[in-house]
Amino acid sequence: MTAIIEFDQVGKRYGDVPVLKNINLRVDEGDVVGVIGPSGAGKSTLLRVVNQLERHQSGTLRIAGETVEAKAGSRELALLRAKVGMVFQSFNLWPHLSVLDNVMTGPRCVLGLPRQEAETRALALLERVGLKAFSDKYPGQLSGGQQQRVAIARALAMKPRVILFDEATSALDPALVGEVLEVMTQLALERMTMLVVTHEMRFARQVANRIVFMAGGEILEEAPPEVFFSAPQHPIARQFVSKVHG
Amino acid sequence: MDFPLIWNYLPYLLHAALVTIGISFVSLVTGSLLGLAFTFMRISRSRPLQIFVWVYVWLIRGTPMLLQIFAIYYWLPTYGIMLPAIVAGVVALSLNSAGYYVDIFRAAITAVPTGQIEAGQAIGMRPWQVMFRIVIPLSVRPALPPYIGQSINLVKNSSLVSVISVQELMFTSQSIYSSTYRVAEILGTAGLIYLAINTVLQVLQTWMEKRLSYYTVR
Repeated sequence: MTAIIEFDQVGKRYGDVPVLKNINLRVDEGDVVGVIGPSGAGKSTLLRVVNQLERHQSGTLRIAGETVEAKAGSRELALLRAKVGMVFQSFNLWPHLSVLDNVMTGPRCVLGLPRQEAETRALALLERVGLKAFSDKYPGQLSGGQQQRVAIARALAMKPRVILFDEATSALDPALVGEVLEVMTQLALERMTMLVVTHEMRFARQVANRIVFMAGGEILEEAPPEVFFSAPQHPIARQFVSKVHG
Repeated sequence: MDFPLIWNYLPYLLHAALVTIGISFVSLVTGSLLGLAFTFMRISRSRPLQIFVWVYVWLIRGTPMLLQIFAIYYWLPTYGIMLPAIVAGVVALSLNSAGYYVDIFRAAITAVPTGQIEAGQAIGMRPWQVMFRIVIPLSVRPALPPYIGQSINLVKNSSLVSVISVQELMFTSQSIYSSTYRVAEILGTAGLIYLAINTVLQVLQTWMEKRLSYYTVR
């Protein structure tokens, strides 16, 4: 198994407040890891440390075998981030670019692909998320669910080693959650490596092959979903599971 | 109203209006470029550059435009820098407008949602790519109304360079009515010409706002 993400005793604090404590986590190629826990647990921070939108202060982080140096410059960071896709809670599509350009921009200006090739790749991905017909539209003309599917296509266009999903369905109208989860499930079936922060317990249970439970900036439990959801070990995890199943 | 008189002097006024348009346009371009450069310095991480721009804006905004014009035309020569009146006028207008453009640009740039920037970073863009592909394009729309507003101020402020005898619309109007004593006719016509120039800018703003509204900013 090739490790894509390795956290070794990683810690982060905002001033005096620790937000990540001694994080040890390994995500292998093809893994779908569901990160769950109460709000304020540090789940999003964990994700944002992976692509260094937040820098960690202690411990070692390795992405695809390469150690992320604390003093990595913008060039090193860009190279790292090109390998790690991210899907945000609020989609964050670029409103001044068409759907096609949103998906093409990464391959064009980061990977340096020629226009034709980038466009072919983008159109294929838009077809995959069922939005090829919308390629000339602007994000503002799309529903939330459609925007999030474009955002997934945008991340995929970089051919990343792993995709981070930061509560990708939390900002969606309940009726639109399904179409996004469907795309995510499809990706998981295609063995895309995914680290998924989610409140969708059913999705975590059915699609993830591992659950990471976080609270108070720590990973309290890590187990396969069937084990975690039927017999959580840690008292806080037990309480959490009984609540969300309540 | 002495309309034949207006008709007689109209060619002189229109010629002067071209001078007004010329110095305004050149000052708008150089002032904008300078303002943009100052904006980058202001949002850079370099403390000395930030302070330099802060002091610059402080001086420009805190002193009268008239004083700035005099300073460039009458004070710089004591340091050996002698500029023809029209050049001094353009320099004064450019430096003055740049001081105001800085904050207009900076406000629009800092108002770009963090999420848009993070999306660029997350995909592996370098900081300058994020700046030129995301931040600046997204700043245009919100910067437009105050930017055009300041540019209209620039056109009106160009009348101040009449004090150093640049023969633009205001100077020419003054010299006509001081010999004909028909103040209402001449000032009224000059006013209408200023209004016409600024209406063009106003229409440009409306047109650009419409053109840029293919997306909705959330």
